[in-house]
Amino acid sequence: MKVSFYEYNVAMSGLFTARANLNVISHNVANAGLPGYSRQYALQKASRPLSLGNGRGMYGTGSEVYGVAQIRDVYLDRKYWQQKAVLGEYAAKNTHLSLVETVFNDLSETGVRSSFLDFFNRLQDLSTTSQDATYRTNVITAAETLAELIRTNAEALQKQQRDINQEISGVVQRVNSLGTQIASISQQIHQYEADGSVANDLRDQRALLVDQLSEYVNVDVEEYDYSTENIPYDKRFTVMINGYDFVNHTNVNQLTCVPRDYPNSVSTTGGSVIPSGQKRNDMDVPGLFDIYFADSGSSFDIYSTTLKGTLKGLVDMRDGNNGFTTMPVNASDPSMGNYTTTNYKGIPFYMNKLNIMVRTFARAMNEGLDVNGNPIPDVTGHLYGYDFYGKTGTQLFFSYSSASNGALQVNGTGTVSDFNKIWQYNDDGSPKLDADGNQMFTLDYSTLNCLNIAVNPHLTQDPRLLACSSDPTKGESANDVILGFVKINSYPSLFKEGKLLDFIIGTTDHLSIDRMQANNFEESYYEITMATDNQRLSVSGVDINEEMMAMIKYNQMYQACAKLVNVINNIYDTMINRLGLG
Amino acid sequence: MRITNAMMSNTTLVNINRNMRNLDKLTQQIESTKKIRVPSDDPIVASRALKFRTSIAETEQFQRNVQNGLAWMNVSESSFTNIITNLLKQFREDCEKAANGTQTSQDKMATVAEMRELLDQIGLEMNQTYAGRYVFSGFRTDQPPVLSDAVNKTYDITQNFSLTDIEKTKSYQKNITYDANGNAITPPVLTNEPIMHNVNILKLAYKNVDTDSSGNPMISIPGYDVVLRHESDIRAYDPNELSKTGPTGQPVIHYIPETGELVMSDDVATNFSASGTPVTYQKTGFQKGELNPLVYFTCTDKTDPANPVTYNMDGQEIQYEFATNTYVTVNSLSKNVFTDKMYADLLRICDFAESLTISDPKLLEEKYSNPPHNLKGDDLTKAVDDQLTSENAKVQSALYDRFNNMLYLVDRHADNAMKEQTQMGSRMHRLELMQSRLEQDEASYTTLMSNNEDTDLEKAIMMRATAEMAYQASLKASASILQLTLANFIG
Repeated sequence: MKVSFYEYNVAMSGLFTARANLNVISHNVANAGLPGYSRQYALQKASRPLSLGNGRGMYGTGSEVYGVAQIRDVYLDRKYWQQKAVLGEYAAKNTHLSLVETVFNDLSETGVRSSFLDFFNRLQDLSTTSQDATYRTNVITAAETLAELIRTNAEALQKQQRDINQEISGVVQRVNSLGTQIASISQQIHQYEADGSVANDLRDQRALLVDQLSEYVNVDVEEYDYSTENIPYDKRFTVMINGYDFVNHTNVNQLTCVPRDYPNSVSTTGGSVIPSGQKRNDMDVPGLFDIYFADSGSSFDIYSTTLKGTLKGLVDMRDGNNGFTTMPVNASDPSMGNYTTTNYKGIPFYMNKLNIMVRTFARAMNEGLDVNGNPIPDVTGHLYGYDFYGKTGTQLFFSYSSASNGALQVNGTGTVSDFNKIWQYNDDGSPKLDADGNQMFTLDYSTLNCLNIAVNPHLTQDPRLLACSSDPTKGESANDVILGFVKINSYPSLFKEGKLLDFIIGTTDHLSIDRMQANNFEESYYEITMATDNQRLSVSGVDINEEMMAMIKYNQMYQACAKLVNVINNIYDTMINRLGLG
Repeated sequence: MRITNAMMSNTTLVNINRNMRNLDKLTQQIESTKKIRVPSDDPIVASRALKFRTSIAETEQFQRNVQNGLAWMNVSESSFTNIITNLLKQFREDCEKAANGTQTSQDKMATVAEMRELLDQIGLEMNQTYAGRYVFSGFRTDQPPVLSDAVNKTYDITQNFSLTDIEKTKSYQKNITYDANGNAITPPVLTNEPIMHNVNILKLAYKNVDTDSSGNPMISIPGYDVVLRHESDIRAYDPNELSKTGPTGQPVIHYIPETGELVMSDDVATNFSASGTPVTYQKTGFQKGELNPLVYFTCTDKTDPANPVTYNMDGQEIQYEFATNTYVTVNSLSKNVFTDKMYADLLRICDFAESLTISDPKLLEEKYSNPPHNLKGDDLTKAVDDQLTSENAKVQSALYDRFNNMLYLVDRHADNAMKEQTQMGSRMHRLELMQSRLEQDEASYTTLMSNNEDTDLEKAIMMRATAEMAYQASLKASASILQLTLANFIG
C-alpha cells in the first residue's frame, strides 16, 4: 500500500515534537531559579506505525508528544520534611538559648556571679571596719545591685517568655495560612487532573508549601487514590501535623491560640468555646497560649513527645521546666499531682533556678538557714543580729512588691515586720514563746522570688540598721554577724548543688551545654537538610548545560525535519511537474 | 550523581559561609584574646573560667584583708614598742633614780613630773588609733582606753584582785584631820610628825567611788566588810583598826576614796585569795585621764537605773578572714597589755610621790616657840631642824620603799606587755607569710585562667591565615565556576 503525501505527515510530526520539546526546555530554563521547581520533560513516543501487510513489516509514522511529566522523588521529599522539622526545633532553641545566655553571661564582669562576689567582698571589707558608715553603705549598695540584677535578669527572661509566646502565635498563624494554601492548591490540582493529566507546576507549589510547613511542625503527607470506574482520576492530598488531621483534601482544620490564666473562656472563630487553661509554672506570665483546633475545640497537645519543628522548640523554651513545677492540677486535690510540661530546660527552669537561689540566699542571710532549713554553723541571721543602735535586725532581703504595698512594718525600734511571718503555736494552741517571751515564728519565702527580691528599704535609708553583731553590748566594731555572712559564700551545703558558686556555675553549665547542643544540632541538621535538598536538586533541579544540550538536540532535529520537508517537496515537485513530461 | 546549577550554588554558599564563620571565630579569638565569647562556645572552659575568676577575686579580697590587718597590727606594734622599750623603760629608770637616796627633793619632784609626762605619753599610746578607730579597745573602737573627755555616767564595775596584786609598803600620813574616834580635828594639826605604818594595799582603778545614803562606800568584796576611811583619818592605815571586824562581823578592809586604795591587815593580806576575788563597786563620773570602764572591766551602765546594760570584754578579738575559713585575730586588748593594774600602779606612784609633804619650817618655829615648848635661839633652831630631818628621813624611807616596789612592778607589767607583743609579732609573721602565699595563689590562678581561656595567639593567627586563604579560595573558585554554562558558548 502506498499513500501519497504520507512522508509530509511524518516530517511534520517531527517538527511538532521538536517544538514541543523546545517548549518544555524553555519552561525549564525559565524556571531554573524557581525554588521548589522540578524539571519537566516531554513524554514522547513514536506514533502508531502502519502495517505493510503480508509480513513485510511496518512503516513508522513519525513521533508524537503525549504528555509533560516532572521528575520528582517523593521519598526524598519525605526525608527532607522530617529533617526540616528537627532543624526548625533546634534553630528555635538555639536562638532563644543564646538570648538566655546573654542574660546569664557570667563571663562578663557584670553577671550574677560577679555581683554576688562583689557583695561578699564588700562584706569582707565591712568585717574589717564594721562601724564605718561608708562600708555599710557599700554593702547595702552591693546588695541592691545584686537584687536589681537578679530582678533585671528575671524580667528579661519573662519578656523573652512573652516574646516566645507571641512567636508561637505567629507560628500558628503561619501554619494556618500554609494549610489554607495547601488546601486551595490541592483543590486546583484535583480539578486540573480530573482528565488524567498531571498539574506539574501546581504540585511543585504544593510541595514547596509543605517544605515550609515542615519547618514549623512535623508533618505526615499522604496522597490517597480514590479513583473508581466512574471517577477515574480522584487523588486526594492529606497533611497531618504531629498525627493530627490538618489538611484533608480541600479542608483545613485551623488551629487557634487560647491564652492561659485568663478569667474568661475563649470563643474561637470556629465557634467552639474553650475554657482558659491554668498556668503551668508559678513564674509564667499570664496569657501563655495553648493550641486548639478551632472547629472541633479539641486540644493540640503541645507537650506531645513526638512534636517537632519550630513549634516544639518554642514550646520547650517557653514552658520547659525539666519536669519540675509547683503548680497543682487541682489545688484542692493533691492526688492529681502537678502539671507537667516538657522536660526541656527552658525559661521556667531558669526562672525556677533563680527562685531557688534568691529564696535560699535570702533565707541564709535573714535567718542563717540553708536550703533544707538547717542552721549554717557560725552564721547568725540578720534577723537575730543587732544593728548600730543596738536594736535587733530586720530582714535584709525581702520581697519588693510587699514593700510598695506598705505591708513591711520595720519601725524605729527594729521589730521584725509581720510580712511573711508564720506564727508558731504549741500543741495546745497557745503561742510558742522564745526565751524572751516573744512568740516564735518562721518566715515564708514562697512569695519571695527572682522578680521581687529587694533589699529592705529601711536599710537603704539608714545603713546603720545593718546588723553586724549578735551582741548589742559588744562594741561598734563587733563583726561576728558579718563574718557569718561571709561564711555563707563558702558553706558547702547551702544548696543541694553545694556552694553558692557551685549553684551558679551549675546553672550556667546547664545553659551552656544545652545551647551548645542546640547549636550543634542546628548546624548539623542544616547540613543534613542541605544534603537532602541537594539530593532532591540532583534529581529534580534544572541543569542549564543539560537543557542547552537538549536545546541543540531538538534544534537540530527541527532543522533536519524541515530539511526533510524540503526534500519531500522536491520529490513531489519532480513527481507531479516533471515526471512524464518529456 | 547528577549535578545541577542550583546544587552548585547551594553547596558553594554553604562552603563560603562555613569558611566565613571559621574566619569570624578565629578573628574574634584573636581580637578578644579569649578562646570563648559565650559559655556555650565551650562549657567546660567556661565553667573553669568562672571558678578561676572567682578564686582570683577572692584572693584579691583576702590580700586586701591582709593589708588591712597588717596596717592595723603595725600601728599596734608601734605602740607596743613605744610603751615597752621607751616609756616603761624610762619610767623604770626614773623610779630607780628616785629610789636612790642621792637625789634632792627638788630633783625628785622633777623626776616625778617627768614620770607624769611619761604616764600621759603611755595614755596617748594606749589611745592609738587606726583610721579613726582605737586599736586596743576590742570591738569598742569608738571608746578610748584612757578617757580623753570626762564621762558623766554611773557604772557598776567589777575588778578582780588576787594575792599577788597586794603591795606591801609603807603608809605616809601627814595633816591628820580625823582622830581615832573619827571626830574632826579643828583646826587641823599641820606640824605633827608623819605617821607611817607597814601596810598592805590594793589599788582600785578609780578614786572616789560612790557612797550610799548613809555614807558607806558602795564597794562589795565577798567575805569582807569595806569601811570608808579618808586619807587624813588617823585610823586609815592603823593596823589596830584594820585587825577589827566590820559591821557584819567580817574582816575589815579600809577604802580610801582620795587614793583609791584598799588597805588591809597582814592577816587579811596573807589569807587573801590567790585565785582572785571580785571587787565590785559603783562609780559616777569619770575624769579625763582615767581608764575607760567599757574597755577594761565587766561593768553595768546604771545611768538609767530602769534599764541597766551590762558590758563585758569577753570575745573582743577582732578577726579577719585571710583565707576561706581561716581567721586571724588582728587586735590586742589594752586590758591584757596595758593593764588596769599597771595604770593604777603608775598613777598611784606619781600621786603618792607628789603628796608627800613635810612640815613648813615657819609653822614648826611657831610651834616650838609657843607653849608647851617655849624654845628659843639655838634650841628652837635645833628642835625645828631635828623634826625636819626626821620628817625628811621618813619621806625618804617611804619613797624608797615605794619606788623600790615600783621597779619590780614595772618589770612585771613590761613582761606581761612583752608577752602580748610577742604574740602579736608571731601573728604578724603569719600574716606576712599568708600575704606572699596569697600573691603566689593569685599569680598561679591568673596563669591557670590564662591557660584555660586565653587564645594561643601564634596558633590562632596561623589558623586565621589558613582560614582566610580557604575563604578567598572558595570565593575565587565559585566566582569562576558559577559564571559559565554551555549557553555562553553556543554561537
